[in-house]
Order: sequence, then structure tokens, then C-alpha cells
Amino acid sequence: MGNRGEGVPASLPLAPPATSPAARVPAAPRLLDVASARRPTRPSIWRAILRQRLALTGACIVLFFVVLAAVGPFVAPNDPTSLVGVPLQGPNAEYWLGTDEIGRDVFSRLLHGARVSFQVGLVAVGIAGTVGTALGLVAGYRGGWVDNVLILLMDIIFAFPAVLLAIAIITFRGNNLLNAMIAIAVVFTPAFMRIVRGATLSVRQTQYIEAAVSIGTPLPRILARHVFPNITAPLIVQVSLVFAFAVLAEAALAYLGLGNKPPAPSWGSMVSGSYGSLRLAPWASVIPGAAIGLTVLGFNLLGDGLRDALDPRLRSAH
Amino acid sequence: MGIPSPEKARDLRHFDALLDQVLQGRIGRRQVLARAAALGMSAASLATLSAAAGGPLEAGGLTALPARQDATPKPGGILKVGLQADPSALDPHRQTLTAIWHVIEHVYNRLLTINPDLTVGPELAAAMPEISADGLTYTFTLRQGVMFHPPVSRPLVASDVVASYERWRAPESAAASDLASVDTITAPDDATVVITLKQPDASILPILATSSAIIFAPETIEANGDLSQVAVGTGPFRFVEYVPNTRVVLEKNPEYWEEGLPYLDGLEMTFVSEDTQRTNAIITGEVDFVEYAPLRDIDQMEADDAIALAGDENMNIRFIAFNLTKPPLDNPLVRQAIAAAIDRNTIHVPGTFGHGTPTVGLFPPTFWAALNEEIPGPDVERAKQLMAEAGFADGLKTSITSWSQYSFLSAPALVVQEQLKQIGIDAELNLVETATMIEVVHSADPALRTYEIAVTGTSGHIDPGEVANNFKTGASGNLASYSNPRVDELIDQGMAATDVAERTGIYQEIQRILLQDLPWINLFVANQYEAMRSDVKGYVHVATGTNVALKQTWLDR
Repeated sequence: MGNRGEGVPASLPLAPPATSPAARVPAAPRLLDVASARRPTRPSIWRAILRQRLALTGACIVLFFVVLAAVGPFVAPNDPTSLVGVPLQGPNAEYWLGTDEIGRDVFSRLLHGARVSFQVGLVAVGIAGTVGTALGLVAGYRGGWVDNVLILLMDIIFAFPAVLLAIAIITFRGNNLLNAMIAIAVVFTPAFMRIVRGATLSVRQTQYIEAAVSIGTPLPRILARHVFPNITAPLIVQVSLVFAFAVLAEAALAYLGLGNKPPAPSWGSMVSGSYGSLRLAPWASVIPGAAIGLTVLGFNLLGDGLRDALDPRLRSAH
Repeated sequence: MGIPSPEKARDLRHFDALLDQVLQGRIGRRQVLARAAALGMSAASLATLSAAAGGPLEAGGLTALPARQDATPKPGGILKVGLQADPSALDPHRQTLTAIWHVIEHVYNRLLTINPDLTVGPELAAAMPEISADGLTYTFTLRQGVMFHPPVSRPLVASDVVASYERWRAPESAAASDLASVDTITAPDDATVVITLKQPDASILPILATSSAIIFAPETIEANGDLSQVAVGTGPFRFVEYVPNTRVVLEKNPEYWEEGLPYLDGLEMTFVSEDTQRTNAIITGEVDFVEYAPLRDIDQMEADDAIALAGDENMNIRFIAFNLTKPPLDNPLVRQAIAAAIDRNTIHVPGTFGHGTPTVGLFPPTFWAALNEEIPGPDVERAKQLMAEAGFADGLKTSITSWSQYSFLSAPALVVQEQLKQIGIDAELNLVETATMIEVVHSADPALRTYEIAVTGTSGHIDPGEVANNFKTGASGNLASYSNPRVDELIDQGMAATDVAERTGIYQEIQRILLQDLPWINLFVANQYEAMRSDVKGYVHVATGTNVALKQTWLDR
């Protein structure tokens, strides 16, 4: 199983790609200009993103998704679980995206489902990001056996196919949305840990860390004040990418009947519930499917754009 | 006049059987026409039957015409069959799964069979059995010249029947309860089987025609340990191979005892469990025949000239079951409130797509034991009042358990859940996979049945006694844990009675009592169809859901 740090096992369709070039960001060649090396200033990131049309598109999609998740449930015309009309109606003036197999309003369910997806992305990335970053900082900075043990643990998680691992965790902990979020977080923790560890390894070599150590700064303070701020760039990229995969994972689990319980709306369960009527009523499954695809695409484009914007080497090549 | 041709004689025989049923009011006109057409009867016969059934013959009155038998059957060809489910093993005494049956029914025979008109007829028995005056002794004479497939390759003898039945009713058999009323099974000579009963049981004949009643050779068990990976019978097709999750291959049995059958050289069965994929497979011609044609796609298939449908009402019932050991569902007022709140006309739509019938009774409306009462509309006010009387004016919390992989049950379960919200019942919906469903809802052990409300179904039965047995105190199929001495008594009477009119009265009374006690709320019966390419001929649908008619099916290509 060589080359673990770089490659993504083929059995992990949901695992985000490791962002190796970005991992070297803190070791940027402009060491004299400490301020700008430590943290690329915000306006420059945004300017870099705006320069890339694809990243901009991604950002717009993400923004749209966030707005949908925030206000969707308030503007939805119907209750997402009520049987409001005749089943399998095509899109019409009353039900903009038609009705599903048992007569629920697809548009209202789509809006409510956006919040579920966003919530899952937020919570799963929050947990995975926090735990993964903490582990990555410790492993990267301390090295030695601590590093070996943590890497081994992450490799064990990584060795399982993502969806299988998530199903196992949900089966063990009980089938509900919270456990689905936890399961997704566990699956994606190694993705954060690796990125952070890699970045930490290179930051640790720098003179300012050496200086901090030499004046006796305590370890937690070094990690929090000197290492972490210098690894945020690859972390931001990873957050964006993992968010996309978390949304996708929730949809996959909901499609399999795990996580959000019926009749609560979730894009994944909307697809699985109406898939059988694909011939009769394509809108009921294709539209939530497209929503999943679009959201994942948006976060991916944004993530790629951020990576390009935050990587000085790539930036200079543009 | 002369001697009638074989076709004519057959026509007349079926005509008599059908007319008999019509006159007894056992089957309706629509069903008569479907069956008569299935049997290839002449227009004149049809008109007579139709008149007897109380209506003129109208064009287009049939929702589904079976493949017509309008030409001389051509032998040869392999039929590609799309089955709904992988059987996972082939032993019908280990698991009673329809998926197993739909593979092995072509390989094995039984003593008796279910005719397309739902009467019981002889198969390996030369004729219907002689029944003693006290109704306790059944004497079967075996058909002569029936050969087992290789490697057994010897004629069938009565001891094979005894060995097969003994395995069926052995304690470790999954279907042992089928033969609970049987006392002894003996073979006085090679051609005679005698079955004695502990008490009279009118359902024993149809039971001897079910999937567990297969006749095999004891050598097969000796050589293989069990029947899970092999199938050696006397049927029209021989077992060639079973590749789990992939295919089953059967080849023609050239020594089959029914003259001239089968027409096909073999069956190549694949498993297409997704409804959409099954529809696609038959529409694109990837397979020649699919069972369980998805009800949502029936209209589309009907409009397609390249596809022929065979099917009609089917012996099944989809229902809400209550676990009467779980408060507050033990309270009849709560169950009555639920019965008043639900709207069957909405519930059945995602279950049948219009190809089925809402019902309050246990049987399809045209079945002879059916209780055809008017479908009550939802009465939410009355339901709320009943809830208040039961002490749940503020509502209650409970759960509904149903099958995750059968949308024809899970979608109705969603509708039920939604409709119960109107009377303050907050039911969590648990859609679970087969193994869990069988344990928590359909387990024979009441201690394992942890469900509260279930939306589930039963199918494939032929005698009303089999369904009624689900309400007998302590019976393994009594998933509601229901107990009513009067119903127990009626169930025994129904088993003992042989007269159809008398039995009809008994089963209708049972259904009326159940409507009061509500261990189940019956929702709807679904039609069942097989779809085939239009050059597949000779197939006849049987309402029990069996595909045995593939032995007389042929390819016009």
C-alpha cells in the first residue's frame, strides 16, 4: 500500500483528492517578506478567484446553495411531507416542479432538502475538520511514534470503502440524521489530518518556529499561534472539497435509506423514492439529482479555484 | 357429429368448469372473460359465459389479454426470462420464498396443481384423490411412466412422495405447519400414496399444490446433503446451473411426461430486481419475458405493440397490521380511529397505479370468499372523537414498520403515516430490509415481533383457509397476536366444510368479525402481470402468481 499520502484508493469514490501542491504553501519562497508569507491577504485571494471564471461560477453556485438552505424552508409554498395533490403531476403553475409518487410537492421538498444537505455538510466538515486538524497538527509537529500511531489509525479508516464504513457506523449507532453526520465526519477525518500533517511538517522547519521554540513558547501556543495560521490555505481548500463530498455522501446514504428518516426530505431519498417512476415522472427524481450534482460541482469548482489562488507557485504561472 | 377434436374437448371441459363457477357466483364476468380468452376459447363460448355472468360481451372489456394461442406451437428456442429476485438457494423446505419457487417450479412436479381457473387438478397424481367418507383418508394413485431427471434417471414411485412429504413436515422445515393436520403418509405400493388426517381439512388439497409440495428423489438429498444448490425433479425443464446473483439455466426435459411439452429448448433466467430495469429489459427486448411487470408501467406496455401482457387480479392482500401486545394499539378504539382516518382510495395509488382494488376484506373482489363491502371514506371527525374516547385527545406517538425494498408497500406506508397525523398520531416510519422485516413483523415467535404498526402484505395463497389461519390464536402467521374464540371456531369450521356456499358464509363471517376487531386494516389488492415480447405465445397467467405455464409457451420467430 505504498504512496498513501498522495493517491486516493480506487475503492474510495467519495474521498476527496489530496491537495498536495497546496500543502507546500507555507514553504513559499518569499521568506523575507514574513507577513505576506504567513497569510496571503484576503483581497488577493478574492482577486485571484475573480480572475478565474470557473472558480467564480463555483462561488456563485455555492452562494446560491447557501441562500437556498438559509431561506428555502421559509419560502417553500407547501409542507414538505403533506400529501398536497394528485401524485405524479408534471410541473405546473401550482406545483412548480410537479408532485412525487404519493402526491408531495417536489419543489417544497427540494427547498427543505437543501437545508438538510447544507446542515450535513456543515456538521460533518465541522467535526472532521476540527478533529482532523488537531490530529494533523500533533502528528506533523511531534513526529516520531505519535505520528506513526496517528497515521496508522487514519490509514485504517482510509482502508475501508467510504460508504461501507459509513453504513457500518450508522448500523452500529442507530439510523438517524445525527449519526449519518457523525459517520460522514469519521470517513472524512483522515482527509483533513493528512493535509494538515503535511503542511505542519513543512512549517515546522521554518525559522520562526525555531525562534518560538528557542524562547520557550509552550507547545499548544506554538501550534495555535504559529503553526495553524500558516496552514489555513490548504485547509480552506480541503473544507470546500470535503463539503462537496459530504453532501454527496449524505445523498448516497439517504438513497440507501440511511440517515434522514422518511418522510423528512433529503435530496438522496427524493432520488431513490422517485427513481422507480423515472419513465412516468422524470422530474421527481432528476431534479433532486441535478441539485446534488450542481452543488457538488459548485463546491469542487470553488475548491479548485481556491487552490489555484492560494498556491503561490500556481498563481505565478497564471 | 363424430368425436370432438382434442382442442374441442379441452374447450368444452374448460367451458364447463368456468360455467360452473359463474353459476355458483364464484368468479365475475371480467375474470371469466380473461380466463376464457387465456384458454383460447371460441367467441361463441365466450358469449355464453359472458351472458351467464350477467352482461353482454363488450369489446375492449379486458384490461390485459394473455398471449393468444392462435397458431400451431413451434418447438425450439431459448426463452430469456427476467425474474424479480435472486432465490439465493433452491431449497423450498429451508425458506418459503417466491423467488425460489419461480425457479424450481419448472424443474419439479407436485401431486396436484392449481389450474388457471384456480381449481385444483391432478399433476403427478393420475386423478384427484379418493376421499374417505369421514374426510380423513386421501388415496392418491400416481401417474405411470414419470421419469426423474438425470442423474437419478428412474421412474417415480410412491416412496418418493412419502420421503418428500416427510421432509416437508419435518420439524426443521420452514413450511412444516402446512401439514399440521396430516397424521400419516404411507405408500402401500409403488403407485399408491395414502394420507390420513388428524381432523378434516378442506385446504389440504390446495396445500398439496403449493411450492413446498415438490416431489424429489431421496437420492438427491443423499448425494448433496440438501436441495439448496441442486434441483432434480420430474418437471418440464432440467436444472443446468445456478450462478448466484447472475443467472439460472434450465434445459428442456425430452422425457417429460406431458406429451409434446415443453416447446422451448430451455429457459435462461436472469435477475432484474429494479422495477425500472425490468420495464426497460422487456421494452428493449433484452429479455423475452418478465414476471411482476411493474404496475406503474402497465399502461405504457399495453400501448406497445411489441409487448403482450398476461395478468389480472391476484390472490394477495396489502394491509396495516397492529401488534395487539403493544399499548395503545391493544385499545380497539385506537384501531377504530385509525381505520376511520385512513383513505384507501389515496393509499392504494402508489401501491397499484390504478391496477388494483381498494378493499376492506381479505380477498380480491371477484374471489368466491370475498367480502365486498363498500369502501368507507375517511372520516377524520369521527376518528378524532374515537381518539378522545380512547383517552388520546392530544394524540399519541407510535411507529410504522414496512419494507424498504418494496415501494408498493413503503409508499402506501408513507401515505398512512401522513394520514394519521390528522388525528394526532405521530408515527415514526421505519423502512427496513427483508431480514429485519421477517424478524420484527413476520416472525413466528411473538417475543421477536417488536413492531407496533406494520404495513405489509401476503400473497400466493389459493385457499381462504390459508389467509384465515393468520388470525388463529397462537398460529405462526398470527402477526397481530390476535385471539378470538369465535374466529378460532369459524376457522376450524371453514377447514372442515367442503361445500363452497357453506365455506363462503364462514369466511365472510370471519371477515366481518375482523372488521369489528381490526387486528388488520385491509388496504388493497394489487393485480399481477407478466409481460412478454409479442412473439412469445401460449403463456397463460395463473392468479397464484406462478409461471408454470412456461412449459406450454413457445416462440413464434
